[in-house]
Amino acid sequence: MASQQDRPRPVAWGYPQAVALVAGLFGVGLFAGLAGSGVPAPPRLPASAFLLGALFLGTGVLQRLSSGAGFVQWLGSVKVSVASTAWLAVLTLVVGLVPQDGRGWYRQVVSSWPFAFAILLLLVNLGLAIWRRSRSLSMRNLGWLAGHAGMWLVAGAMAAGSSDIVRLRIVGEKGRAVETAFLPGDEEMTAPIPLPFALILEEFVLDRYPPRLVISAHPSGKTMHTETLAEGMEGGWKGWKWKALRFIPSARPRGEGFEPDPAGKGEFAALLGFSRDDGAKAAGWLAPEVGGKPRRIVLLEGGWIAGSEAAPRLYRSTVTLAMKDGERVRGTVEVNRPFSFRGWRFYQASYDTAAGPRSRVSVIEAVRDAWLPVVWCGVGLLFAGMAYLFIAGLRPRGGA
Amino acid sequence: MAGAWAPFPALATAAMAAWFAAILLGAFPGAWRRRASTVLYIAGEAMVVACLVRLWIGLERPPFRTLGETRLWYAALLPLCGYIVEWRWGIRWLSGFCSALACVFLAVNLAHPEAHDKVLVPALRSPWFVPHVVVYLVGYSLLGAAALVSVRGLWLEMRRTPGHGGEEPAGAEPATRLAVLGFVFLTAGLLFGAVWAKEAWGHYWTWDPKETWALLTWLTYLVYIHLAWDRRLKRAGAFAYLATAYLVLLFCWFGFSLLAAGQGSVHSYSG
Repeated sequence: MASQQDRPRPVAWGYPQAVALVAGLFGVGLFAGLAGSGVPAPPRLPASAFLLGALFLGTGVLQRLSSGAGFVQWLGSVKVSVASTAWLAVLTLVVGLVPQDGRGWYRQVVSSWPFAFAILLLLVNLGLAIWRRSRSLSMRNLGWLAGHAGMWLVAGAMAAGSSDIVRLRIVGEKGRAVETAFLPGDEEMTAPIPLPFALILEEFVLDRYPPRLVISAHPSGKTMHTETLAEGMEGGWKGWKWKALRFIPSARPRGEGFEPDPAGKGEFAALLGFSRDDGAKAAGWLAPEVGGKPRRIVLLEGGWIAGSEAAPRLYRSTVTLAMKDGERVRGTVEVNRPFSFRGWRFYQASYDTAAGPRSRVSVIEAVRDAWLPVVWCGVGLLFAGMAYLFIAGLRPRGGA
Repeated sequence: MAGAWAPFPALATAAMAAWFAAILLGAFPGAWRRRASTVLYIAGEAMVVACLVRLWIGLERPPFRTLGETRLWYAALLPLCGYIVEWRWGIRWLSGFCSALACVFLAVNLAHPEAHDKVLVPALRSPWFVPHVVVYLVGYSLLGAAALVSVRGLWLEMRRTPGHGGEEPAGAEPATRLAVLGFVFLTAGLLFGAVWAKEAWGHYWTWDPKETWALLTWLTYLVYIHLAWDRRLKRAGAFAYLATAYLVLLFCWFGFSLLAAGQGSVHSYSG
């Protein structure tokens, strides 16, 4: 039986105080923003790992030294969890409602002081609760700990590790060794950054679905009907009938129309005739952007637009990486299939859209994320916590 | 690719008729009526599942790409959740409510037919595509069932005036159980999405409008689960919370793209 001294002291504060804490921190955050100081970027490794570790150990020491004292117990209680989660929900709602493209904290919420304080409060609250619960490692507590520790790791690693993610855009050109890259926002490519390797684009493949006729509603743009475009194709929809009078797989503009491109480097173009039972008629070329000329469409009576497209099926770059130490490695990069080498992951980002399938340029994003194992560990723990919640269900406080 | 969708109008109409007949039969006592009602529920479910199978085979891709395709999945999964919960926890009226709500989704698809084709853009060609969308739709179905339990509970609560009797509404436990299960699937969907995004683009989180609303939905239910654990919500409060939370979920599903902040999402449904 626990003595009077061992018993945790009753929690002094409740929900009203938790809401007051959140409101106070929000006010302080707003004031810090108005004072003109932006949220500083977290330090880079190893200082970032040290800071995050210190925060976790600090909450543990606080929990231990306080022996369940009223304020610390309350700070790690479900009351503060609810208030801080609700605060994060409100901030997320602002992000969801207001375009994040301007000045003022509400137009750049995730880089604002109120958001930084919300994450900090969440980490402190979760940290205290984790330390408190970890004193008893029953199956029930282990399930709870997995979910909450997973949440702490994901939120903590994403916040503390944000300065450690290296993300570079490499504009690969066929057959040329590229040794510099640019930051993702540097669209004008004004500040080249030297790479620790050279990237040579061997091949870029853009595989596409066959060209399609696309009937869409005007002005919503909602696709209503699609059909594969081919020489002599005929079809109909909503009283309209059509026939492809001409289909050129590789076309170049000529006057108001198109002609076959002898070099075979053009986009497709199709001349279609449309008719309706009541006598309405329309005709014209359908083509995507060709040679810098805009997309060609035909307007149909009744609020429909006839257009065309050849949707992409696959983007694939074959690259060779030449390291400074002489090692060379060849790999392919596709959307959903990045290529990994020496801690870097290479992602297919873009290509020369004007050149289409004949693009000689492929934009590859090289990413180095030292915190990735920590985030994956957090994700795994969150899954384990959810599996436990799925099996055992929620057991409210004070229940059997 | 209209062929894959061709059986939908007839099958959806037949499924709706079967479910309405099942609801009517289930409303009256009697063992044979109950058995016939069960058979009709299963028949309706089979017809909607047949639509999905036909669509998947005909389109040669998972039918999750358009809003109408997700509505069809919801119309299949929501009654299924209702039957399972009815069987597991004995909430006798739930499958009827879930089937009625599924009929609304089928009716929307009948009223607003979409174009369906085989196109699956490179970003969707991922092993994460099916699990990500399926767990989300199961989660949405469970949370839809929780909202139905809550709306009925609120309605009974309002009808019950002191001194005048009225049906005693059940506690919020069944709705909370459904919300917890739905939350588990919502979390799995969120995590699958983050893992997929990392594989596809190198970011697990980009604050894309759909991601933002999905996070808001998740946080909304996370707050509920903590309040329920702390026994802070009385019966009516719990019902009102879950009914409101479902509105947030629906907005995340259908409404976010109407906002200025929702433009340009990579999660825009095509078709």
